[in-house]
Amino acid sequence: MHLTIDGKYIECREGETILQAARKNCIDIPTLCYHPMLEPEGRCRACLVEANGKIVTSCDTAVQGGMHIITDSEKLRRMRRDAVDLIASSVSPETIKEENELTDAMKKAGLEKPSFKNYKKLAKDNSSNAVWRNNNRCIACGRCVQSCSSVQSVDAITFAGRSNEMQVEGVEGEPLAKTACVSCGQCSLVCPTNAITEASEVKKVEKALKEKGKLKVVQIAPSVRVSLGECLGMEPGRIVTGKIVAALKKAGFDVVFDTNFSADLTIVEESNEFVERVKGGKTPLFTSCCPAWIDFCCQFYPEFIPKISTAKSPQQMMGAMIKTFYAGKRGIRPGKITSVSVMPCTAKKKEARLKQMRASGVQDIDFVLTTRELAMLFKKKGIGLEKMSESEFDDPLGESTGAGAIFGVTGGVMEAALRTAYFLIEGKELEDINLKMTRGTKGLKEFEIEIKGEKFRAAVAHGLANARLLLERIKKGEHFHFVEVRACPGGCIGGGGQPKLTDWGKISARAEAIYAVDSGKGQRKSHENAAVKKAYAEFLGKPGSEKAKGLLHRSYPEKGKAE
Amino acid sequence: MAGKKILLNELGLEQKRKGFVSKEKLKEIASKACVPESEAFSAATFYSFLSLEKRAKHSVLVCNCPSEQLKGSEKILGFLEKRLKVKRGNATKDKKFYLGETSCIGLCDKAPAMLVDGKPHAKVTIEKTKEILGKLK
Repeated sequence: MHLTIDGKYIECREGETILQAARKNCIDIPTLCYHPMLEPEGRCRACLVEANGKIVTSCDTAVQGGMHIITDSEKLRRMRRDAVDLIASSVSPETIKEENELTDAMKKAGLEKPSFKNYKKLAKDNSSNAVWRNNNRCIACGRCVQSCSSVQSVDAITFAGRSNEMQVEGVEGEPLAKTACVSCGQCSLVCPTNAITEASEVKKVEKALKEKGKLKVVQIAPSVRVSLGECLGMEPGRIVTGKIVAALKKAGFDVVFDTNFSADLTIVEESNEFVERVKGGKTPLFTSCCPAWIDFCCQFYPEFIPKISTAKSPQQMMGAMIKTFYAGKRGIRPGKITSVSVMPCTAKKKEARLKQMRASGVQDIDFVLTTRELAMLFKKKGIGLEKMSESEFDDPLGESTGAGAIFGVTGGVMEAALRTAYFLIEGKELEDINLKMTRGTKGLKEFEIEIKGEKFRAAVAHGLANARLLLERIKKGEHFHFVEVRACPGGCIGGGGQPKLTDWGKISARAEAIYAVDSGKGQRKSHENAAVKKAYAEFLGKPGSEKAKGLLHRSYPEKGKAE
Repeated sequence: MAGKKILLNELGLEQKRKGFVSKEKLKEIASKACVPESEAFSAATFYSFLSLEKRAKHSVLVCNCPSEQLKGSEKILGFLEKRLKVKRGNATKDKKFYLGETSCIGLCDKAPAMLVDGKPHAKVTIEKTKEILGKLK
């Protein structure tokens, strides 16, 4: 199919939008509400073009053979500028003073400041301890509502009212904490004006770093090392592990541990649980590392709660180990340690505050920073990541295998667990530990694996809407032995606390980097982690022991979100 | 699309029956129409003739389309605010009247128009408004 754009003869495919056809041919059309990973809704009208003499939104108008499209004319420029002008006049003055997608659009439209005053102060919603909403910054682009609805099938937020009084609200007008919100933060990942952000803890951490007489310990999650660079001007997928460790030390942390260590620990506990469940005929086993998925399951599918692994997430296993095992080694009380974690995730903030996450007697993890917040902390402290030299994680909770690394990507927990479960059931190691069927960006991956003559069915879902489809099938009687669910598309590399996403390309770059970390490791199976073995020998006993159960496992509510 | 038709139908019926749509009813209607609760909530807040709380015995909604405004809908609204001693968007203290604005009700050719307890009135004047109010108990 052919059409012309600004007189240029262009080939295009059926089903494409005008915007897609133009961008493929390097013709720029400004956009604002459009997000490449979501369905276009044509709300903002910043992308107007003329198609066969008619003014249309290019983001959601499909191409037709023989179309004549004009993307630039005095009239179009005026109309687009007016559209952006009206949007800019409806937000708080601070919103248009900083760099964001709205001010980008204003610059493109040649608009210095809005011509109208249509801003009314609105109440903020800081009820959730994971995600904060500030409608004073909202431009009603609809990305968050669509994320919550189509990507996650949670439907916690929606549009209320109409016309210039329309705004995003919790369902029934409730504050976010009282809705079905699972804290995944996907809304904050796509928000163009920071109207939705993580519940910020940067100031609290800054204050804690100045506190005397406390040991400041920090851990970083598997996916942070491949995404943090993006916030600080590096290319997507750059691995900055050693630099982060050095930078954290410079920022004032005494000890830097690796969440990849506790990911290995999680795998050892969870594979053990899997083997037990297979023996007892109690499959499927659902993974438990993602707190947003757990909130989702507990609210919408409480009948599956007994199927979720009782193993805590790597963050909380590390938290428990720091304030018990490590505190004992150092000879200090758990209350003398400030434990911070850097996560790709907003839901981890809520998880850290759950009543049962106090294995040490005090709250195991004191503060949780997202990847974006850590970048902000480094910027505030004037720490240039690029210039840092490389440092190593501290002992005894710093050693990890490749299996721990792949926790950061969809399918990774499954792959890591199968590497160990295969060994536990079969009695020998897998021939090829690269389990390719767990990898890739497909929303739902299903496969069979033969262990000791028995066939095991496994499924990997990412994005809660995909998880919902899978759970409905299981409800109807389909059987799987092992199921991994991650709330965020792509897994933790696409987490709600990560650098803002513009396309799947960034997720793929981060995934490649994660697999590079895995293949670069000498040891790639969790049960081979020498530090994990040592922790069992010195402290935990054996996998699934009473002590391990007390420190490394958790329980779930019968129905509804955990508190 | 069937779900959405059911949704609006049911919301309208409930509004007529009770004068508002309660939270429980909203949930019930959403599940009947097979849409998420968020969508039912969104719809209920979108239409000015639907309300999520009991407003008042009578509802008076004046259309605020541009064509209505050109024909003097502001004057009517101003008169009603004075007469009922209430600002638009609120109910009178005795909970007898709710005064609000509504988007297009399809009577632009007979502007200004208003909806009183769901009944449309076209080409209203201050005189006519007094008459309509007088008939309400």
